[in-house]
Order: sequence, then structure tokens, then C-alpha cells
Amino acid sequence: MTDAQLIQNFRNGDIEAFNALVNRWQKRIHRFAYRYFSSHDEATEITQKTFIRAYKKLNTLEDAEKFSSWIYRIANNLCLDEAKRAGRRRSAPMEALPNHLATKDFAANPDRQVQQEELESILQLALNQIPPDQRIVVIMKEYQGLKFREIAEILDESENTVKSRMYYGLTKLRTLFDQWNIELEALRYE
Amino acid sequence: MNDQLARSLFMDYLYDEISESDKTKLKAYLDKNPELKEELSKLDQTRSLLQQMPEPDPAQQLLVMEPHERSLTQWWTQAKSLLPHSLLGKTVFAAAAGLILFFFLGSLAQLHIDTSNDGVALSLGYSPTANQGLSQEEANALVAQIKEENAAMFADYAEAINQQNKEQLQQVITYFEEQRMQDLKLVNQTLNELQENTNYRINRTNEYLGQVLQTVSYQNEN
Repeated sequence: MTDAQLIQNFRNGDIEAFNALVNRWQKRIHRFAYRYFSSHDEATEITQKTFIRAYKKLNTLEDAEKFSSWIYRIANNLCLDEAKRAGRRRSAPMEALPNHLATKDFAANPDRQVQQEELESILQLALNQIPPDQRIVVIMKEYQGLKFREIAEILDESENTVKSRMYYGLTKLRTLFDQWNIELEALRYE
Repeated sequence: MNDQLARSLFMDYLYDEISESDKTKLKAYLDKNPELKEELSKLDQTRSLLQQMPEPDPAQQLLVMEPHERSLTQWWTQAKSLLPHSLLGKTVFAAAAGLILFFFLGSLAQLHIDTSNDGVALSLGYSPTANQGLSQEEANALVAQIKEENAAMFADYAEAINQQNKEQLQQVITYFEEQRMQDLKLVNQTLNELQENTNYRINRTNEYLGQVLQTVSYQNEN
């Protein structure tokens, strides 16, 4: 059953149809919010708020075929609101980089294999260093697998603007990895 | 094609959203520009790095719950399922329900059930009392007794009232007597004070006159 059909059933009073939507979209929204805040607690809170708002506003969605863009737009707005409310830029300080990487010990031992949690913290740290508008596009493209057209629709921007943000976001990340002397081969783990 | 146009196609190329014609043009241009090709390669490596990040999953499954409102039909259907289905069960259930209903309505209407040798008496609102009956003599004796008791009671009552009035009168007399004595004491005290004051003034006047006379006689002698 498609999202549009579930929405139609929900509008006809079937609460289970909305639960099916939640079940279908919860992981994607959680992963999206987690990439933004790198915190499971905040990702869970954003996910809950997203579906609460969706539940209240679903009747206002004119085109049920655009539910995907609509739910991402809600989640994105909530992430931005939360970041603004928290009053801080959602980026980890450079000091959070593991010592052996920050001191280039990592580069001196290219054969060293990085553990799973270290890899995640390095990549998340890098992601948090780029501007929020570029980070959003990178997350949507790289971790949500959305088309540039879909991202443009969610963010209400042109496709060229989205591609430009993606380009600069990747370039910035490349620069950071170069500064930290991190190469793909070195990040392979057991 | 130039460098700027080539870069504008980088993202489409990396994420496979480029048309075949543009891809052919871009590859041809990159073959002539190794620096741009190297840049694209680094961006591709960056993508590969980002893909190393494990995917987090939510710890709990969200569920939307709404209070379930049962319709009257659903309620009745569910209630019927609780009723007994055998004939004996239905009979016992009906008898029990009737008994409960009888006592419930009886409690509302203040039903009284009294049994005696004459039979069972049912009444609503008050409890009936059996009439034992009295003979004429007994009734006269009862009336005379009630009259005597009433007369004695009124006599006691009058005496008590009289005694109470006397006590109150005595209290009033005592009160006024005490007031009179206090007033007399006050008058006597005031008169004494006045007398003392007058004597004092007379003495002082005599002293002044003596001094005047003494002064006058002294001046005459000189």
C-alpha cells in the first residue's frame, strides 16, 4: 500500500494507517535527525515531534503523493528550530577529535585500523564542521538517498542551489580529511 | 565546455543523475584536464568515506494511540456476549436480575415488609404499626393519668418560673444596692478632698497675711 493510500485511509478515520506510516518512515526520520545532531536522544525527540506534527497537520497536505517531501520538510524545520533554540551551532569542537588523529599519529601509522566508534566520531565530527545548509544537503543526499530534485523541493530551493551546496559541502569535508590526514584506505576496519 | 560548467556537472556525475550526453562531454573534458579529474576523484573518495558511517536505528518503535470510542451497538454486542446462553443460565440470570431490581426499587420507595400472625404486610413510605386496642375504662384511666401528670408538670413549671423570677429580682436589688454604696463612697471621698483643699488654702492665706503684717510692722518701727 502506498503512502498516499495510507493517508487516504487515515483521513477516513483509520488510525492504524497512520501507525503504518510511522512504522514506514520512523527509521529514515530518526537517521536524518541523528546525522544532524549526532545524538540519539535529540534524534528521538525530533522524530516524535515530526510525527506528532504530521498527525495534527496531515489533513492539510493537499497532494498526498508529496508526503515524502512534506515529512522531510517538517523534520528539517524542527531540526533548525531545535538548533536555534539550543542557541549553539551543532558542531563538535576540534578537541573532540581523537588525540592520536589530531597529533597525526594516525598518519604516521597508516596500517593502523580504526575502530568502529572512532570512525563514526571522526566522520560525524567532520560533518558537524560544515555549515548547516550544506550539512542538510549532504545528509539528505548521502544518507537519505534523495534525488537533487527532491531535496530542492523539500528545501524550497532550486536544484542548482542544492547541487552547489552539495559541491561545497563535499569540498569542505575533503579539506578537513586532508587536514586530519585521513585516507579511505586507512579507515578500513575489521 | 569550460571548468565552471564541468564542475556544475560534478554532483550529477557522482550521484549518477547525469544524462548520457553530458557524461560523455564531461569525460572528454576531464581527459584533457587532469587537475579537474583529480578534484572529481577526491570528491568521490570523500563520498566513499562518508559511506563508511554506520546507520543508527531508533531504540524504540513509535506508536500513535487514540482513545477507542465504542458505539452503542458495539457496546451492546459486547455486553450480550457476557450473558449466559443455556436456558437454565438465562432463567437464573433473569431471576437474579428481577430480585435485584425489586430490592432496588423497594429501597427507592421505602418498601417495608412486616410479618405477623395475621400475615405479611407490605407498605411504602412508612412502617405500619399494629393497633392493640383499649377499653373505655382503661382509656379514661389513661386520660386521667395524663391530666394529673400534666397538672403536676404545670405546677412544677410555674414554681420553677416563680423561683427564677425571685432570684432575678434579688440579683437586681443587690446590684442597685452595690451601686448606691459605691456612689456614696465616691461622694464622701470627694467631699473629704474638697475639705482638705479648703483647709490648705485657708492655712496658706493665713501664712501670707502673717507675713504681710510682720512686714508692715517692721517698716513702721523703722
